[in-house]
Amino acid sequence: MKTTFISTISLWNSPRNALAKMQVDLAKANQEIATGRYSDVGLELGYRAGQGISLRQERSELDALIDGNGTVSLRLNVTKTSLDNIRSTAETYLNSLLSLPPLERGAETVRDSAALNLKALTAELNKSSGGQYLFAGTNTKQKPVNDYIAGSPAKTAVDAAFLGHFGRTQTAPTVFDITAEEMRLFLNDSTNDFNKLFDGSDWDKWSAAADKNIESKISTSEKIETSTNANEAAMRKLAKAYTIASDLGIAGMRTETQQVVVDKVMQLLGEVTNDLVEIQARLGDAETKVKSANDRMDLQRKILDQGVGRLEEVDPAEAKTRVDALTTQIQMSYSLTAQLRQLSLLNYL
Amino acid sequence: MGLSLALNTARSSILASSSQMAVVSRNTAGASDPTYSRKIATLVAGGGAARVVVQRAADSALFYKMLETTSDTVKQQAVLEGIDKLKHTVGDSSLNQSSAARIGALSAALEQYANKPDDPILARAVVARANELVTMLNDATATIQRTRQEADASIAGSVARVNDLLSQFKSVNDAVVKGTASGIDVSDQLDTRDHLLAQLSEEMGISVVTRENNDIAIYTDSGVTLFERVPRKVEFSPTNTFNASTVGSAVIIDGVPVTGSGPMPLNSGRLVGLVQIRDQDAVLYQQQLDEVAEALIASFAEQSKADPTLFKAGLFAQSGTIDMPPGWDDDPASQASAGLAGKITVNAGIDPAKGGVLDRLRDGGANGDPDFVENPGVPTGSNAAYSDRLYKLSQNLSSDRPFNSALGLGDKTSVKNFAASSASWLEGNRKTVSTNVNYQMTLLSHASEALSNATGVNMDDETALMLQLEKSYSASAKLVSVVNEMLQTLLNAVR
Repeated sequence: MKTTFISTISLWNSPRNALAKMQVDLAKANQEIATGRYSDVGLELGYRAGQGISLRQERSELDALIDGNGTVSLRLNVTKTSLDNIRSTAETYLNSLLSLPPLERGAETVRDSAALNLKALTAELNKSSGGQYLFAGTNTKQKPVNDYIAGSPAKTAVDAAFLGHFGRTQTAPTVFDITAEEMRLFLNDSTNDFNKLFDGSDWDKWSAAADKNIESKISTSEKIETSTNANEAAMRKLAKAYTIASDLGIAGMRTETQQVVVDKVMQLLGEVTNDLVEIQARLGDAETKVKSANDRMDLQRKILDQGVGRLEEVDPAEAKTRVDALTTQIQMSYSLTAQLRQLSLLNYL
Repeated sequence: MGLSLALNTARSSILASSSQMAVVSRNTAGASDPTYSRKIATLVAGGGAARVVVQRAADSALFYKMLETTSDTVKQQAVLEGIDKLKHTVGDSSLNQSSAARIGALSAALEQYANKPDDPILARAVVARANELVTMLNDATATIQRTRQEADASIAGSVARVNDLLSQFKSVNDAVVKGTASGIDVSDQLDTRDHLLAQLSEEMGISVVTRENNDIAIYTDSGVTLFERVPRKVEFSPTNTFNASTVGSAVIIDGVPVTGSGPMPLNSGRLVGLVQIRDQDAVLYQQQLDEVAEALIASFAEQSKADPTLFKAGLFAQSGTIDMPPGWDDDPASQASAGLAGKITVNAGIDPAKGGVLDRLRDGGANGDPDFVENPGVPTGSNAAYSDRLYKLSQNLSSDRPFNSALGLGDKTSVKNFAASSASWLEGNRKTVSTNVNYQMTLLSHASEALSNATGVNMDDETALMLQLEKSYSASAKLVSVVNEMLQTLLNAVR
């Protein structure tokens, strides 16, 4: 056997053997330049492929949370405006009672504006946004507060309580006979039907709202209350104050009794203002939390995007260099193949 | 008589040159055939005559090395082909079509719904994501089983080819043995026989023993006799349809099973790769998906209030029943029932497309039983912003639960992570096998190049030889004519 022997097939194929592989590499590099990612991400990453999938999922979860926070912010905003309305109405009414001794302005005025305010309160509490009743707690598909009109459960209960205690209706002329002491007893006895209607279990004649507020997950780790409801003490006291002023027949009472009624109303309204501010503060706090959670998640989103990029993206400049090198190599291989073809002893005979 | 002796010698030299020339032309003809091995015409001169013996360039060490490398390469290629098919179930990570991505999408939809549980559009989105996830799992199961079935069919094809090659081998080997015994030129038959061996090595790893009179016996790389004077029978009964619990049959050579857990399993060749896909990789992947399906059903399960040990299916159910799959709450986890990923479906009690009620997703009681309702709102359906259950469900998807540790993805993790690990496992395998294929391909190309250099034809060499022969032929011919002239001269002198 000869020491250096090469078969013609080997010789002719030698520049060509690597050609197929180089062409595949060239196609890969071209695709990587076009897309900016590995041509076959899974093959490139191997056991780390799951990481890419997880990072994308975390990102879409953040997207969903930020999206949901939009709804939450809207709800908080609208609720706050409503609370502002309720509070300013209550304050105006309280001021009007304080500024002038009410009885000089006429008990009818006191009664009528209380009735209007009660209606306004009901309207605010029944406000909805994005298909949700704002003050319904978690029972968002049901109108939270019933209108106070003849025949409504609340009105019927108030009438019954008054009739049961005093033995006459609010419109009867004999209302004039009720003494101040009797009225004070009626208003302050927490066990009677009238007070139970507001402070006790009979509140459901007014409200269908749930006690539980909507809880929202505002970031991957925080879950906070993001609504309020019509069962809060402030709302009960407001309804009570407006009902006392509007529907206990204040117009027909004697002056001392009227004074007792007005005093009670003023006391209730005074407490309400503080309670409302407290609710608003709670919602404002939630709003701040939502905002800072959004800021944080925006940042996280960017980091996750960068993570995906580091994992799956290629350096286009590097890919271009690869294309150049491969092109040169392939050209050389072509021209060598062509030259080898001419290398034959036969040509020299 | 010197002159006639000279004439005879010159004549035999002409004959020898012609036969050498014939060999040169044979070599030239075979130069571009990679299976052709160079013939060497050796001139044996002596006793006043020249004789030509045809030999064949061969290098058995290189040849066996090439056979071995071929078997390894083809095995890895078969595995890679199978895994590439399974890979379609994962797709590119940017397409978000893997089970992990679908679970992520479901979880995001669930959280969005939990933030606004009174919005039926969001509930519908959750059910849509759930349907996509279920479709993915069902499709993946179909793909896996189809891959197994295709592997099985390829095994049958491979076995048929082996049998065919063996019967061809028998006739060629017989010719070689007979020819060698009677001393005739069998080099072309030897080429054919080597070519058959090379083809055989694609299907399974073989080892070859050469015996008296060039007879060859073939054994598998595990030692089972494949050919000894007569071909041994290679048997395989294909399975036509595969489901998750189907076990494919084994390949049997000469009565000995050579795949699976038999005593003499093959080590390389396409058969081994195909069996590995059919019986290991695809099966393991199916088991992983089954575990994912079980974890999904378990994550959404509903608990009875009357009997806290009683659970029924929630959003995800097995097709046709609302009962939980057996062994779903075992810890440490047992393997989920085979093919669960193909049977999982969105509960008809919730999916509005199947007449279900969307709100049950939020309230519980997917199957219409008030005992399973979690929303405290009365009447049922009120308290529309009740989100506790939804948050709990979304929590379930990301909290740890037991998984079958035999699947190689850990024993306790969240279903999200488990699904992502499953994708990682598949891609990791693909990368490993693909690297192996590249490596083996390089080895194979070196081995065949070395073999070609040892046994191939160099045309220039043959041309040079041809020139040499031409000269020697001319010289012999000249001798004949000179002798002829001398004899003529002698005869003329006599006349």
